[in-house]
Amino acid sequence: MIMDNRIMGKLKGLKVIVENKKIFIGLCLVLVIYFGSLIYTRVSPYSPRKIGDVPVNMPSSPEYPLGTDPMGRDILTQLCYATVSSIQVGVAAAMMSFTISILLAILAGYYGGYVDSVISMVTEVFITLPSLAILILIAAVFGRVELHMMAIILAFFGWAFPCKILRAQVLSLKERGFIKLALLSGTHNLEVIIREIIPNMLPFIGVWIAFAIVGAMGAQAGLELIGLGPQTSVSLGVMLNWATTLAAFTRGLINWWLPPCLVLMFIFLGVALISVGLDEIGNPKLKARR
Amino acid sequence: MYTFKYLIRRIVMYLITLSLAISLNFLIPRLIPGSPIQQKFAELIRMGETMGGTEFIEKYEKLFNLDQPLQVQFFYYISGLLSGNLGFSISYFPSTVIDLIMKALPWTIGLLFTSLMISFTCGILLGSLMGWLKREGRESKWMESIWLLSLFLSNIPFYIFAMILVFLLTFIFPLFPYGGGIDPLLVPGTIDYYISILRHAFLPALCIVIVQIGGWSMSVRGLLVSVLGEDYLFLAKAKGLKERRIFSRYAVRNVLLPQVTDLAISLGTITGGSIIMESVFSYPGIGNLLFRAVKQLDYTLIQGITLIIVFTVTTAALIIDLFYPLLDPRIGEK
Repeated sequence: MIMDNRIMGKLKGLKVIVENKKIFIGLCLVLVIYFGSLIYTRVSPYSPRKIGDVPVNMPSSPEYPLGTDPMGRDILTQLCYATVSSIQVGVAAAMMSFTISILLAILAGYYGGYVDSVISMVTEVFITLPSLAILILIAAVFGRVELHMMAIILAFFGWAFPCKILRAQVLSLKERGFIKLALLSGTHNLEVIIREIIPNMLPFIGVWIAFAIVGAMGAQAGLELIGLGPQTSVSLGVMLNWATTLAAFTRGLINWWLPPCLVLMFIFLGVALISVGLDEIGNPKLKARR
Repeated sequence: MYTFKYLIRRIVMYLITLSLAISLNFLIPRLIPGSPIQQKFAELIRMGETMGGTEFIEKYEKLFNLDQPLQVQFFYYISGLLSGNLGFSISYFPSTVIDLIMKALPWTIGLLFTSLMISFTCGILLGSLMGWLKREGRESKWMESIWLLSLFLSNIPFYIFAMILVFLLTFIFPLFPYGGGIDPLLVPGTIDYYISILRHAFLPALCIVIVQIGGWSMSVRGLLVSVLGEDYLFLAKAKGLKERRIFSRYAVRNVLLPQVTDLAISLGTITGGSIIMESVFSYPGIGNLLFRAVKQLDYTLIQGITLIIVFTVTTAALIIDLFYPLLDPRIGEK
């Protein structure tokens, strides 16, 4: 009977997620951009990096939908390859960093004591370290940071801030009456964490995963924009870097620098919509008001 | 309220954090293979200079103590720190690190402090207004679109925004200069000089303000909406308190707390400048200095800048932690 209720609850949860308009639009936006790009990279006859693949500086035409760049590359092909790799790096980095931060946040906030002191100190040090400077340092020294390395580095420096916020959230939850009641009634710590703490943090978790993806993608594109990106693959920041170093502004090549900007903006918008939608679902106080 | 023990513990933790960060700060640049002096010469050779013997390199390495073992270098570093001496910059040799930082710091602080304050104030006002109007579905279409706009703005990285603004305002409509902090030919002290500073700072400041307003207002709005569901607000309403009073005394006060924490953290990070923004606009601030230092493997300069960042950020965090229990009694030591 209890199991049935749980399964029903989950199904209901899924239905709520699909029915939420913001999540639906956001999810569609991101998925369409990702899979659209993925499919186009498979069908496109051109190469994203090969110089002189097509005639240079062509305006957009049926053959080259976004035109070609001054190095003789098809811009739409470039854009699609770039989009796919940027999204992959962002999601991979976010998943890694978020796993670290939620585990540490619960450990620190829930168990307290020495565990908390040590974790808080490490977190503090990581927040304090100018991570972008270190990222730049690593990228500058090794010259070429490939995409998977980029994801690992971003995750390594990205977990600390969400961890601090989530820890504060756990701390404040722990002081609430219902957690104290659960503990007093002899519920096991693990059960309290899984059934009381985590569900109550869902809005925060959802929002912070979205932030983590957006943050990783933003940091990645930023590094690449100032010329510290991968040398052998193309991503949205790398495209922006090519466009700015080859003076796309002054040459009026708006078809070169604007599309990567727009794609990044739409991905960010989509992720933001998903996070807002999740917030509405996860926060029962909001739901009750609707 | 917190106890004396909490105070001591927090301060001890601050000192541990600071010394850990300083040690990491010393160590990380040195873990990287290759000496900065050799890097510098390799760069000169690439540019067409020819090179004599290697004793020249050795002489320079001696000058910066790079020939010594790590622990000796660390000793020099710490004793230099304690006497307030950060040493010479490697890539801008005759200048000292302090000089370079002091030259860049006013630009960064002026730009970032002003734009942070503007965006914080506007963001809090806008966010609490949006959150308050959302209560009982009084949100108008107009508010909904402002909300969507700030949601959008808070989530795009500012350099994208910067690129579009630069394109519009310097290439299509050439209203503002692109790059640099000031026209180099102007005489300090004249009106033109200050106007030039303002004109150069306008675009980067505008980018920061617009993007940050979105961030601040989104978080205030989100928090406010979740606070609005709390029972004590229901009680306040049931007591018959005026809406205005409920808003300012009951709802916003609870929301402002995390915002003040965030503001303090942001203020702490100001000294680091904004690396990407400053290099996109080639603004003569700390971020740009750090970027150039990193590209040239200038250990002493990197350390000097990161030291300042580390110091301000940890101190800001200490101040927050000492104030937080005073503001929110739910968190604190028993």
